[in-house]
Amino acid sequence: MTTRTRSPFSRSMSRRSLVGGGAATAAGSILIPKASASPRISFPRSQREQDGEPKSGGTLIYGLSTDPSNFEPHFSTGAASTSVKMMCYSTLLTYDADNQLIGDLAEEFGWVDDTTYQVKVRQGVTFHDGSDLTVDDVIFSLNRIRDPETAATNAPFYQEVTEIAAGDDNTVNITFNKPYAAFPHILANANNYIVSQAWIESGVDPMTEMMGTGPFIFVERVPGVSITLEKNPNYFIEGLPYLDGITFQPMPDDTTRMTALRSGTVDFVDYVPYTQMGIIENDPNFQFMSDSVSGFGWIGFNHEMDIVNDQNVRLAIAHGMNRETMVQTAFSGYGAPITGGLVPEGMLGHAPDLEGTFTGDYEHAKSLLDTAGYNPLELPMLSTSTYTVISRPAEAAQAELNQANINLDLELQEWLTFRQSVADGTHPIHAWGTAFNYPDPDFLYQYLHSSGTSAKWFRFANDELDALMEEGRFSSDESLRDEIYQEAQALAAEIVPWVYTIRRTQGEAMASYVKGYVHTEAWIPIFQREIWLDK
Amino acid sequence: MGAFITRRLLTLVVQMFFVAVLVFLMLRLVPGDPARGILGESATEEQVAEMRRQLGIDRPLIEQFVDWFGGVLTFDLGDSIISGRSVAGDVANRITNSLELIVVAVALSLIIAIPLGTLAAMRANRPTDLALSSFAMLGLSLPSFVTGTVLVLVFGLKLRWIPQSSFVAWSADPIAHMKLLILPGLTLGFANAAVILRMTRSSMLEVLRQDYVRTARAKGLSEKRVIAAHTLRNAINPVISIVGLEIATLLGGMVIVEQIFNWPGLSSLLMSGVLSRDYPVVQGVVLVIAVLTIVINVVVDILYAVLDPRIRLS
Amino acid sequence: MDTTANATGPVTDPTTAETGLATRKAVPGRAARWNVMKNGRVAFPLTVLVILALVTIAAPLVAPYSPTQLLGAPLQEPGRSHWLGTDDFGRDVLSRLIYAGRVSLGVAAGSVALATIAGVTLGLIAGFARGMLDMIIMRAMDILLSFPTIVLAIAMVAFLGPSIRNLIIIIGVIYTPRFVRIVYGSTLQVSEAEYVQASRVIGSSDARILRTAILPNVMAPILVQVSLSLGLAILVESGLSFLGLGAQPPTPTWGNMISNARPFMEMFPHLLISPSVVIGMTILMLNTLGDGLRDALDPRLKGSR
Repeated sequence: MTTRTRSPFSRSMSRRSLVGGGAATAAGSILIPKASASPRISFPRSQREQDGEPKSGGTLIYGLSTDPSNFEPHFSTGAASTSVKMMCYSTLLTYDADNQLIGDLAEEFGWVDDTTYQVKVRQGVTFHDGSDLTVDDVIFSLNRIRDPETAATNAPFYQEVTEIAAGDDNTVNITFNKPYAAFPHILANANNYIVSQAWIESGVDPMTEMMGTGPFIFVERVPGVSITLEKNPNYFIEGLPYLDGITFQPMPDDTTRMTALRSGTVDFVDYVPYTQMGIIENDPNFQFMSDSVSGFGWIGFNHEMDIVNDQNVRLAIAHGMNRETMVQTAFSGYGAPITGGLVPEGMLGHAPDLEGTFTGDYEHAKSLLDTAGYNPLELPMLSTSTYTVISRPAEAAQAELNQANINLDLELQEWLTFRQSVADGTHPIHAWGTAFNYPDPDFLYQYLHSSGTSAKWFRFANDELDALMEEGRFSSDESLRDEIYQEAQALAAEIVPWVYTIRRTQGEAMASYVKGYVHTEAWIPIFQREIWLDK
Repeated sequence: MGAFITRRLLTLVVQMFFVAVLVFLMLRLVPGDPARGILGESATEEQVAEMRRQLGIDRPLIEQFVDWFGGVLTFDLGDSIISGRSVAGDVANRITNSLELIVVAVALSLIIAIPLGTLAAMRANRPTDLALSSFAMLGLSLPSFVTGTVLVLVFGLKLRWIPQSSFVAWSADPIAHMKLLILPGLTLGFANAAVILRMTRSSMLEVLRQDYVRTARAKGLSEKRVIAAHTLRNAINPVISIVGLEIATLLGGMVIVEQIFNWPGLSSLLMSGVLSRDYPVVQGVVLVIAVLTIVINVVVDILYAVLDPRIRLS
Repeated sequence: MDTTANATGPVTDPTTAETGLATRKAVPGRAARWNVMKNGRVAFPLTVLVILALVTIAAPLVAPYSPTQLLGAPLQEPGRSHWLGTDDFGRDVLSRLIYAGRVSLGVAAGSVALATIAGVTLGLIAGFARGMLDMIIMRAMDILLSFPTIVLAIAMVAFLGPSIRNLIIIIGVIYTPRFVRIVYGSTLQVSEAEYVQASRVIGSSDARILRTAILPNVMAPILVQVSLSLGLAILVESGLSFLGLGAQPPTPTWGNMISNARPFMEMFPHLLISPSVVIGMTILMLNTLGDGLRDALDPRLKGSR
């Protein structure tokens, strides 16, 4: 059994550090840096060595983009909530600064055989209430996730699990029906925390309280005002955390949050709006750490509706957008175009041959429309006003497609109404965006396999894609998987179940005296535990 | 007077019931599912259905209404389905924050507006009046999110006169807390000041033309005494009614200011409740606001009658 | 303005308060009405507003560019080719401002018209018919008024969809109670007046009384309220846009132009300034008109019938 799983990001490691070194200083003007085809990383890893010895003490004041609705460890309550929950709870695995999987509560981990995954639970870990972390707690937590009554966000990923049982020597064995290569990433996922069986069963309300094994202890929550955490002196990693505590202050208004950072009211903010990225990047008093890989937008279809069920129409839409321009219009350059497959460079399954397939060829788009018999084409497109990271690419797409004789009447609904409408299939086209659930191409399953949640919203099914998705999910041979996913993406580019638009830059900003933090491409904020204040 | 109050209170109960029914139905009619919101984007339809069952929102509407309203009659507003916290608790916390801000805003606006409005009335149609009236117009003409943002930008960021700080409870640090009230108070107050200034001006003008004022002047009383003794008291009546009603309206309507200044008030609780379809929270807050509005209406009417004997309610 | 703060101004508004104080009202004669038009405080703002309305109606002829076309040069300062600069999508601000006027003024006019018609109808019925009908209508209005606007707005937008037509309905519904109250108050007052009682005694039909006695007296406060409400409606629309409930992109409204300009406020203030100035000026004119009308139509200055 190995102690380190080969991660999808292991490929272009050296290339990454080369790219990382120079990207910190953006070329040219403030708001319009160049959009490049390869993912951008704006914080060089080597910087960390220059920071010096960490100092203990101090409280980090964190301006949070959303007030977490509740603290339930097995529900997904948004990325902002993860910043809080991940400090009180721990997962079995997590990511290191190079986006590789490492053990957290698991001392050792890996596949015993094709269909059995094993983790060795670390000894000497205590919960905040003093009780020991045991194998039973781990088994209880995973089973709680699987229990339909919990309605846990990660439950669907445990579908093929047949048994979770204790093995020898503090191990837990998870047995599957078939091999499931992406599973380790689920164990590192933000909604997969390990909780104390005794605590949950004692009748507490996990929605309003947190008690885990994390680097910080939950002290108090004042709704809409603050969430206070203090240092866990018995954290299982020696020396961590350096901070005495973290105080989260919800600030949903983008401008207010950024003003708070820049005026020194808070030390750290998550989710920097693209309008302020340039300002922060060019201010030596602040640091900005981000990626332009994981967040992406797409245009989806209701394949049961007329017109869009014609492949040529969908292809026309795919070709009728110049993504480079869209990155400029939507995000002032803070993003990256998706001109081929969705899997980014550096991840297993990336298809380099597909790059440049969709470059914004309006004439080609128009001729496709002619073939389909709908030139010009007018359709209603649904999107949401609640998140500008979704609505701006939608507007940019609308502007682009105009040039290809495709006129989309945009209708923006607020978030829950929008989600209901997509589920109900009220519109032939919708524009949405999200991020990878985890850094493995298996995330495509949800969208391309007919049983996937999103595929069901698209009312889409294709036998060949189904077979490829299943093969990719259930094989353990890495090079085989690589081929499979490249093939799947090529097929998707032909039959166009959905159309990708652009990636967005997403990241955190902090004062220059905040050290130790690293932004991971999996958007797992585990490095908050390594923050120290240089003042 | 007693009969009047009793009658109004009865109407209050009836109105409350109708408000309760209205908000209950309205929320159920709006598309969007709190279960889906809770579970996140990759939730399967089966999970959504299970969550709906757990939340109790798949039961027949009558059952849900009776269950909830029954609780209301015993002063139990239920628990939030999104956060799990008691609705009454959240409302109590937030409402004090809102009221505080409103009181400060109204106080600021009264201090600014009444003297200026009086001045404008006394110098009616002359340059002073024009200048003051235009200034008042400005307050009415700009959206509060413009005023608010500019104030924060100028005083918070550029000049650093008001130390920027996130919300600090009174109990934690009273001085810091009071300083925090200034900018949002001014933003809200600016718009109110404008309204009150114009109100004061116009009702002062009314009163100044009345016979008894002419009489007072004829008697030889100085202008100041004329104003103070006779006009101001009568002119205040409409101002009172406005202030009272402003309070009620603002409780639910100051969303934008609360957002910009990160003020944890009742409006933002309401707004986020609606956006996440947190039925118990929205129902609870709307009921509380409706009750307060009606009560304030009654109080205002009483004050009106007390202060001006010419007006008697039949 | 928080969807409702400036927007509602005083819920009962000065007019109703004045109704409380005033004890006599009379109908201004024809000569008096013409004088109103000549009054500077009415004529000036009215002229400005009419010009503004004409410019926005003639938008396709007047605007230098299309309001929705991306011209490839985002966030440009005001200059020769773009008098007011370009926005973050690269669209011409001046053109958007003019077209936005159509929407903002159109929504305001439509919603206030709706509120006026509904308000006058309901107010007259309640004030004239009295009894059960009176109670039902006025209590319904009270309930509507005690309902937080934000909930109404979000719920109605979610239910009906965020089109311009629906915005008109939503804002119209929100403002109806105010009109009902004013008309109701005036109708009550006039009904009690001696000459109306006398009319009844000699057998005039209800319709005749409505037409000759009540409506003309109600007109004055309504006109005033209309001009004030137009301004408030524009603010409500801008607030709804700020909260993401307004007109759909790429359609510009003054409100959503301001709200979109906010993130760029520091680096590109020109985006915030132009729509703010236009909104401010329009509402200023509307309020001045309202004030002017109120002063001019005040029958006490004109003498009684």
